[in-house]
Amino acid sequence: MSKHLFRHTSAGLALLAASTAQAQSPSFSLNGTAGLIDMPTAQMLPDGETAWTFSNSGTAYGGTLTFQMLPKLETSVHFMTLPDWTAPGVDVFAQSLDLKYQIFDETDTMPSLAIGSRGFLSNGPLTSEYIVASKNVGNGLTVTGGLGWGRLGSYQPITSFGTRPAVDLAVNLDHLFRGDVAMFGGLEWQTPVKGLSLKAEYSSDAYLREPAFSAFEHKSPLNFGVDYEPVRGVSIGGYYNYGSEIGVRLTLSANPNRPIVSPDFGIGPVPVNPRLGDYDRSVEWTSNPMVSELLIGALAPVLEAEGIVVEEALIAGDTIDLYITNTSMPQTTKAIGRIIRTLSVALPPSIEVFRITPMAAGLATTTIEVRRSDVEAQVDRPNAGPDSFATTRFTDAPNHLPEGAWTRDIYPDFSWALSPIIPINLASNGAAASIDVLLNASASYRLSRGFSVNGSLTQKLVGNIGDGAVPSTSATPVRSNFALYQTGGPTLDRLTLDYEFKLTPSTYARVSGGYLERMFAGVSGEVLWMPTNQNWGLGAEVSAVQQRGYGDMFGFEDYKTVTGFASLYWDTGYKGLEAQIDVGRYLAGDVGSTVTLTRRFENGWEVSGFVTLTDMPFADFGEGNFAKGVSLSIPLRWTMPIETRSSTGLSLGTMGGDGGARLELGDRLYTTIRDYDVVDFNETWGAFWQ
Amino acid sequence: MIRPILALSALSILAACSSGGTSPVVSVIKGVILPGKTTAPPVRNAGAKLTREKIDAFGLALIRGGIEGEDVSNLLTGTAVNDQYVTYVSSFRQNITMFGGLVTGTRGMGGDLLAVRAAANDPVAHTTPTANWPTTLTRDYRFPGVGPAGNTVSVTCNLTPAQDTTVTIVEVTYEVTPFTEVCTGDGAAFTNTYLAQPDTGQIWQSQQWIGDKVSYVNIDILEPYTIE
Repeated sequence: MSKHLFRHTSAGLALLAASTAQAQSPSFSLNGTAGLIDMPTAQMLPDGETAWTFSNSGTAYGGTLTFQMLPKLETSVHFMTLPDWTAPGVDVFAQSLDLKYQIFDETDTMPSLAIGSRGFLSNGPLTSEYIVASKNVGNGLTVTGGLGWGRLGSYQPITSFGTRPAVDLAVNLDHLFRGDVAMFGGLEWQTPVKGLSLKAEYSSDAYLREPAFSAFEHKSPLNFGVDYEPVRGVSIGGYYNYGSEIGVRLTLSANPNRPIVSPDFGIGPVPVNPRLGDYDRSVEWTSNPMVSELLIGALAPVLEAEGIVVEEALIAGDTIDLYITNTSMPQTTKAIGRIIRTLSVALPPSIEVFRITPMAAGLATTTIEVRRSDVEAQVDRPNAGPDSFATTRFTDAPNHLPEGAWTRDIYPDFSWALSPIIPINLASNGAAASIDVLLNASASYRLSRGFSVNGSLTQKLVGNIGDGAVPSTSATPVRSNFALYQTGGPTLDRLTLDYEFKLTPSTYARVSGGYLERMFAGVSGEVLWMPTNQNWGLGAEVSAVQQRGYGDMFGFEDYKTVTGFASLYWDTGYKGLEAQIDVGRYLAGDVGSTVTLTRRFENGWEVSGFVTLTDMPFADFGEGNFAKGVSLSIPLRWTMPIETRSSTGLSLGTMGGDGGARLELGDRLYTTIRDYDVVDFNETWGAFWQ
Repeated sequence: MIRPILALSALSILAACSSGGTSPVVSVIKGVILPGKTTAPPVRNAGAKLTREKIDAFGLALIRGGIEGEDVSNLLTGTAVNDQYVTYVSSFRQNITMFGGLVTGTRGMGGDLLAVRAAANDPVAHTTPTANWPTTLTRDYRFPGVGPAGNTVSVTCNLTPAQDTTVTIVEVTYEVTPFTEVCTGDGAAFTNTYLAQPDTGQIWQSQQWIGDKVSYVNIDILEPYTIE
């Protein structure tokens, strides 16, 4: 049984809370993208706009996550149910990836022009392609016209471009812009009433399949609708479609560039004064361990008040070395800047070199070396940002400072957290939507900086996911028995012994053993080579695992396997885009590759999507014939006026597909340390002086 | 000699933000590293009963700043000087940095203004008798964004004087020339106002744009920073 899960904590609430003042931007279609009703427009949403749409057109219902990945590239993933599709009462669940690229922006005289594909990677039941132009002709009226292929070329086609292949869920691109071509178009009028738009369109979709097993009638190509956006971020729509059906839509949207609370509100940095020219340059005092220890011991609580924990420290000659953990500031560069300012004020003038090494999950990452005289010469000046980046040195840090350094004495250290998790099963082969409310308790007992015991326990409070679950018929049910694990609880999601360390200053490593995730236990090792001055890294991971028991949280099933991957990570440096390619052997023994594309915004927003293709036959793969998914992470700092590194997330993907399944190990090494290389410091360096 | 506004007052800020009362750093540095130095007292709750006598007795550079549209304004003490940039700090450790009469930086007030580049003929930054103020000038405003330089908003501004008038700031009345400065560029459009003393060009009161997140900050100069 496949389950398609909308798994979130409070991201939906964050989107809802994003409602602010009214402003005009392109409206949404039933498809969840910028568009008319069923038809697309050439308009683009604001860069970074992220929208979650629930819709029922009368012929399909479900959800869509749309993300304006780049200013001219709109992406969306649909999880739709098509009622009465293969027989009366038999629904089909359809996933699709849509892309729309704007070729030309609108000018005073020319319309905007866009090209798009619905169901980009396979010729599914909703697949179509189009070229569309839109022009605002004044008085709030926008005119749209276009040519469609596939479904959008099915009503009164005007010509044909070759022969379009039959509907096939396999991954292919042969169908793109093939077959009959038909015209579509429409009008949108933004009325004088704030947020209210009226729409009318001529649809080129003949809805050929829908009437086969249902009472649906396609009486007219004309659709009409009303959109209303009472506050920015919340949009509703009502439609009269096909001359026979009523459609409705609700869209919640937010944008990383449109924070709910004003950014940067809070405590400012310590002002820096230059040292006087005749300051005492003697450093003999640093050879007295008592003085150094006294100074560092006094400095640590001051930094801790800013959420910066000093783990190790050493003063030698004219240099201070600090290994720190930033527990509160979303941007590490801001924490580095705050430390530098504090050191400039608090340390004797003879200390000239500040070396700060941020740590992540107990791993020392990159050493940032700043000269005090540079700070004094740059602070407050107009070019302080670029100048300071140019004079700062970045080097790979050894995992520990030399022997004799001051070390924070806190181990063993125990921490815990409680959080709700609300997975929603949108649809599954005709099954009704189901929902759980879970309470998750996690704890970590850290024996030393890199050595820890970690556990996670979940208790279902209420819900119906997994009700009536039956065993999978798959030969390798690595995920397809997902529902059998939904026993109500408590369930032990994880109990592991973890050790994170560095093999060299630029090579990170992790070893984990125990109950790795809810469905598998075993041992797992990972190595990542990622020098800080390089925008790419290589990783390798190998795990030997056995499937855990369905009902017995400590028991096992018979299935054992070895899974492993080689990974390439590339931080493009372009608009926060990161790419990752994993090649290897998945849990079911299938061999293939996963491509992940992530856009990270400077304020911590992160949107990513992945596609996995393996050599598993499509018949065994599970729904969709290839694995895909999207996830969204919103920093709490974006919604609340406090300094915090916490975030809330949402992910949409195929849970329960046996093909392309990987171990769920939490944060892997690259995710842990990716914020600490030169590319990321360059992107966020604007926060250094904040 | 620089007025005593710089007398380790940053250390008092450290003490104010640390948990558990007095910061141990202050004690250590006072006792071990910098014996004999004293810290300046932070200014607190002075707004409600602020008098000229108290300002004079305080003896430090002092401004009153508030976000346009909000009722509350805060006293900010001159705390750091770098070149000609003077940073004023409130008791909540919100910062305003000024170059002459021009606000060139804000911190902790929401939507940080990182820095401002002023032209050599900018009379707001470089104190100039009002008769010599230019009618146009250019300025670059820098805000947080991707990359070390952040987002730069370059604007061209037109300065227009109005009829001379007077303004009273905490019991002292100044003869001033009001100026309106209309700036546009890089998608931004805003209007600053200045009340400047005609003979010296000293700006005593102003309303200045600090970005599209917060819009405007109102500044009263209670005791200007001077080098004696």
